[in-house]
Amino acid sequence: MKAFSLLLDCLSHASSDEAKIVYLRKYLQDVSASERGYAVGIVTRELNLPAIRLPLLKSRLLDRVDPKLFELSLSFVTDLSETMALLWPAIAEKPISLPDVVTRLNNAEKGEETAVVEDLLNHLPASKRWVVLKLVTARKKPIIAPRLVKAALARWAGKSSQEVAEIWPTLPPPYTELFEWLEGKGERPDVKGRAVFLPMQSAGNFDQTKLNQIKSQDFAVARKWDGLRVQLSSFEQETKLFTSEGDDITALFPDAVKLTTDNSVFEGDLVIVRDGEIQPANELQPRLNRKSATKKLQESHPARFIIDDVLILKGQDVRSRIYSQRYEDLEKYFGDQSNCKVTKTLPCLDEPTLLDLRKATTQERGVVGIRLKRWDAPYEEKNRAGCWLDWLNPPKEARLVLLYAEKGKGAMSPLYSEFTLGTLNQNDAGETLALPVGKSTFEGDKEELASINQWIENNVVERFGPVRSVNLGLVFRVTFGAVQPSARRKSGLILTSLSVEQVLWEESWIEATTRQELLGLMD
Amino acid sequence: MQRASHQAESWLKVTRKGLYCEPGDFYVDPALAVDRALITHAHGDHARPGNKAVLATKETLRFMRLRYGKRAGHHLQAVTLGEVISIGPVKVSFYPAGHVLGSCQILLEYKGCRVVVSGDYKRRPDPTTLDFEVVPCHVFITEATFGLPVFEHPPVESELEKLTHVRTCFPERTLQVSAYSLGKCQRLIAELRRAGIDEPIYLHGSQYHHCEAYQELGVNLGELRSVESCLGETLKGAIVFAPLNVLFQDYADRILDPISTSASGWLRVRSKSFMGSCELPLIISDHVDWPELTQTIEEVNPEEVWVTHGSEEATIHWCRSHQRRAKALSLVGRGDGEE
Ligand SMILES: [Zn+2]
Repeated sequence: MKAFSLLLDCLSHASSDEAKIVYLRKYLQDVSASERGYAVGIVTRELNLPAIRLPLLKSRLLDRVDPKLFELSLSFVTDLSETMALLWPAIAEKPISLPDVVTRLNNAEKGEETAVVEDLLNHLPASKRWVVLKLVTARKKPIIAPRLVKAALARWAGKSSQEVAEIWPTLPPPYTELFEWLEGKGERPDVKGRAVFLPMQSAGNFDQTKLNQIKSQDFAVARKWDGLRVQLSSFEQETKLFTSEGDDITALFPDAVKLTTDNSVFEGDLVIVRDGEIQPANELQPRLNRKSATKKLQESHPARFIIDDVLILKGQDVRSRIYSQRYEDLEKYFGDQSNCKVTKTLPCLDEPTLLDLRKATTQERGVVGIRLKRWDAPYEEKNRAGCWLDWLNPPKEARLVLLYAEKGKGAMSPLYSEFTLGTLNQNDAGETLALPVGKSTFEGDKEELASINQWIENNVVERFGPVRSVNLGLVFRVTFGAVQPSARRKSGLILTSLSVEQVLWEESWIEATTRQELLGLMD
Repeated sequence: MQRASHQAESWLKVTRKGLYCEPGDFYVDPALAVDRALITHAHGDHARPGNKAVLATKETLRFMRLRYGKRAGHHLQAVTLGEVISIGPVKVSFYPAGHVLGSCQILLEYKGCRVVVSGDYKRRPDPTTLDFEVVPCHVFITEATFGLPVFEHPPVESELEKLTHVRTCFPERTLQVSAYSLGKCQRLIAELRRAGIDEPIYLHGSQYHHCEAYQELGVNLGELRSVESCLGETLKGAIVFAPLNVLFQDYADRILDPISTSASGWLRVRSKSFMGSCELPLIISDHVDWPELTQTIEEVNPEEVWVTHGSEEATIHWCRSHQRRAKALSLVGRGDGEE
């Protein structure tokens, strides 16, 4: 288990995606075949392991350590499972391998899981205790992006990452057949009848200065939905839904994969539709954050799949056909199937009106701009010379004040990085209040985030589970797609595609953008 | 009968300038310049410039002169370990603290009461300094930088394995180590040498001078080069040290895609290890961790423990729940860094 705990350590401090690939590749090279599959299943979170209740384990720990010292430690470390890993008194260290840990956890009888974890903790040093606790309190988000895992596997075995990506979704952890093939000990796994993931084409950004060089008749113009780009792969044995990175999200969206297809792969946008209206992309979050979709969630956040392309149709690879042909295939194939919709292309227009068209979409809910696809281009993983172009509505800016902070979702993220931000509003009594208008994950540099965290820790007002409310004081410069009405929020507003650009340390919260000003930015 | 420790409070006091011994009219590690100072070790938060008379080990005085030049003090007196010196009615003597080269605990004896001011100390063997010595006393004044049970420094060997692993993964990248110029820098170099890394190590100016002083004082650190003096050389795959407050921008054109490395006891806690955004955090410290702190208190076995900088609350709680008298001593001028 030593190599694996070292791997997690290195991954959590890696400075780039490339570094993560190098670390993982080195790990694959160093460890035995029996360990690799489990490790990959853990870092991608595809391996199922029993979850345990931390409070129960905590009470077992408190039987053995001074409660006051525990409290002081927790308030310093802030993360419960890390505090427990650090304080757990080991009885005697024993060499325990990663496959051992996985087998013991998976063989635990119902109700015995905590006891098994306790026994493991008793015999491991702190860094490995932390790994065990991470395994059994695992959340959904992968420790490293599947795309990087596939790249590392491909590099390690000297195969193309495209080939690895195609086979990947058809095999469950510990991926025995995949590894046998990668090591040259077995045949390439047979993917016949299984849902494959095909590398997806991405769009470039439309350059507005070249507007007059574009012949709009050459392009299929369609709305760009504020959703998640997905691939639906449906074969005899199974139907799966993938993100553009190849993450399998089938279990999260049973309502979107219901449609009956045969041996086909489609592409499009996954959106939340409520009362006939497409909702902003952040409405997808509650569904993406779960391990599965509850009935209640499917009712409150119904998902739909809007299709705009086809890669394989009834067993035939149509990627070499040009888009006008593929679009025709789509329309013919779907007709009026329920649960899914083929995107309508917009009427062909002259160049200047392309701009009007783009502008017109800003009025529509759930639309972030327009997408142009060359009618005469085949489907290609590499977006050759701008065959697909996204012309997004320019982001709008505001200064919002921090209201709530929550720790990041990843196992590697002990810092507050999810922020609920607010706009200012005067109530009837003339007092200035801040009302939430959206949530955003901080994606700036680590050092800045560390300073923000320091500030948050000094300014906590209340705790609601994992959420901290803070004093009004920290102002962020943000960009967003649009201001939209939201009956569910006190502010009555929501900002779509909200993203934090900068912390305005010097700015007083009283100078943040007001609700009135945001209303003015509504299209 | 009254405890001997009880009367210590009447002659050893915390003042604005620092810990003051009234009958001897001297300070230990004063925060401001005074007439007579006893210095435990040469770190900036213990040894200040401008004192008139300074009593310390020859190593500490050497580093103070290196740092402060003429401002190190008007009259510098070197003590040898264990030698008893009388200052008025107070007897003082110095014993190794194991923190950095020349670092000492200072024993003060007055009217049958023994007080040990331990300064900063550690218990791990360190190739660059003498081991900590247990000195029996009535009052033990201890630091508590890592005074929480979550702090348990792993063996240095396992941290160096991590370093070797990362270098194997990236043989072309420069290992860029941030470390205090005095102590941490030389300890790390000595540990790298012990792990069999014998290539030349590159140093920033002030660290280079401190290392020279170490070598002169008999600590072998292998082949060292000053970064400034070999401008033509490529630093690909090399190990380069710089102090914490020096930005590596100076060498930016020579160090491409470096592996930023730092060594500290704080890095034991993950949420803190992200603070400096370093790629290779090494949990190596020149201070005692929690098990060593509590073990030291038991071995010294004083009547009373006075706790200075760090997590006093947990340390005092531990003492009291182990039937030991303890109190916090808030000295000015001690940062929460790790010097
Ligand atoms: Zn020190």
